[in-house]
Amino acid sequence: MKEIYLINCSNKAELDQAKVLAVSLRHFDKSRPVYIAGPKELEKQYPNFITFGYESEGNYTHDYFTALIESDFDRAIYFTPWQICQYFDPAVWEPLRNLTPIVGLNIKKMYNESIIDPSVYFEDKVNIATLNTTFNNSAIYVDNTKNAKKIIGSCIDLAASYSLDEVNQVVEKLLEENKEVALLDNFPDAVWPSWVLSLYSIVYEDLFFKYDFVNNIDLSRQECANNEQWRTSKWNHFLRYHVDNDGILRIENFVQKGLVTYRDPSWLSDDNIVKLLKINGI
Amino acid sequence: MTTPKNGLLLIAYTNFTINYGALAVLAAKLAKRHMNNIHVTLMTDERTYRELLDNGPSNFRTAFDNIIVENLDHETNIRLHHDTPWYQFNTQFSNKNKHTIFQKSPYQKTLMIDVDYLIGNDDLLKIFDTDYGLALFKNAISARNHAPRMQEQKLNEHGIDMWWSTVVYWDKDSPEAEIFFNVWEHVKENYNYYKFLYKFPGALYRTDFAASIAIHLLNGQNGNVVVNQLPGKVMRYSDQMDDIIKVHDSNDMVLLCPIPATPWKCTVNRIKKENIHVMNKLSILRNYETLMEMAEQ
Repeated sequence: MKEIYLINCSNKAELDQAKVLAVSLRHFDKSRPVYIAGPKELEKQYPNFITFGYESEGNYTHDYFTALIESDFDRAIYFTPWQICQYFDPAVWEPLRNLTPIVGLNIKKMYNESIIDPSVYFEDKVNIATLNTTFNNSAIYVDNTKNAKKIIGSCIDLAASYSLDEVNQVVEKLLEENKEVALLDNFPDAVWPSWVLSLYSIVYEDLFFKYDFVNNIDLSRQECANNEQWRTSKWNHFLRYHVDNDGILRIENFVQKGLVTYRDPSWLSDDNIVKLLKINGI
Repeated sequence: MTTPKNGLLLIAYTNFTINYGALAVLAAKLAKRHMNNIHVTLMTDERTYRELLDNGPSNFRTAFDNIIVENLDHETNIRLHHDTPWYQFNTQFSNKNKHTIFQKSPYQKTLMIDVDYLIGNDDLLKIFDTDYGLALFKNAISARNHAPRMQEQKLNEHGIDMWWSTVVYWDKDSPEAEIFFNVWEHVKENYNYYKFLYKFPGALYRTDFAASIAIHLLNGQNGNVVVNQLPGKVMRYSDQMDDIIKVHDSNDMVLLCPIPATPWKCTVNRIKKENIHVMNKLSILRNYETLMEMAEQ
């Protein structure tokens, strides 16, 4: 059985981020390979870094799912690149093997371990508004031995041909036929991976599950305790942070322990990257 | 008489302004009344003990089952107190050896309360039936049913949670408890460094802050798996600006509670059958005789 960690690196700017994440995953689990998928053009430029290339359609959501379909594995934990892993317990593979074909994370936390309501994140907010649910895809477990490829194939179909105009035409037609249309209100203009996964988690309810196999700290929205409003500025502009020589990230007085999602890489200075690549902590 | 396994510990170091010895006698009497005549030890200094012998309440010997008297020189630690919104004063606050209670307590399982924590029910007795090594309150609610000020919830706006050192429970056999008190001492010894690191203001040494930092360090600077919360999970407190205006019983009192931003506006709040941390110590002393009389019934 081939079990891997997979990171999709969709452009050149994400190379450093994917590298840091790959090294940190390797630190916590030396027994499973870390694959980095990327568009063929990127593979040509960085053949030693990209494990395998896929034909990019220039559509991020499409590419996100294509990377999963094209890679060779039985089971994978699939990551977006704008993250660092500060703690991971490989023992989670055992319970994951007994779960559904696709498993996503349940909760997102702040740097201080407080749980954040997902509706404060833009994508999650739209997912909830349109589908009444959201799916955290910071890391997802995909089990091809349980036919996960079929679901991912459906995701690719939707991502490739999604058009709000077409959706509206279908809706109008259904309404003309006096058919009840409950789900299609307020669909977004474009779709993103967590929206597609949220949709299919409703359609194929039995094939999706939420389980926090890694502690997910999402820094893209952080609470401002001063006025109880959500900060619009970036976390690294108002929180103190430090990467020590063991590659451990501290934000304020808190050691970050889990999968840290940061999205905006502006805090990743060359110095911080060097330290994170030498991770030897926790 | 042998010392029982479980007991209550009080610490009292009196000063010229606040008679901590007298407060300890009342706190012990209330605890005995509402906590099934629990065994009580007083930890004090020679000066306070002499004061109790010479001028203390006549019943002070029956309040304590055990008294530990030490010869101590207290480090200077000046605290600003409020007595209602209209009067404030500075006085010595002798709390810098609070962490030493771990070694000094005569009990296997100790519940330490501050002398301004007035016991009104037996909820805290449940802690002795647990296998907890260490427990404190993290959450508190005021007599006006409001959350504490932000600086009493977190050490700074992005900082760690504040745990209250008003009530501390520990089991002497617990390695976590021993480490906790050792780290507390370390934080106290390096208080200025930790003040800078954890970004909290003020010159006063606050045991709440030292204990909170110790808990944070004990948990690997992330989350909490080591320290338990005390029964009830929320500590009732009345602010320094609040005043006790009527005592119905030893666990039934009415407080006049000013709204901090507009202190000329007040709410009247009745606290009944609850434990309460009355921060305005002078208001306790003003109602001392009534409270003591009812505690003795």
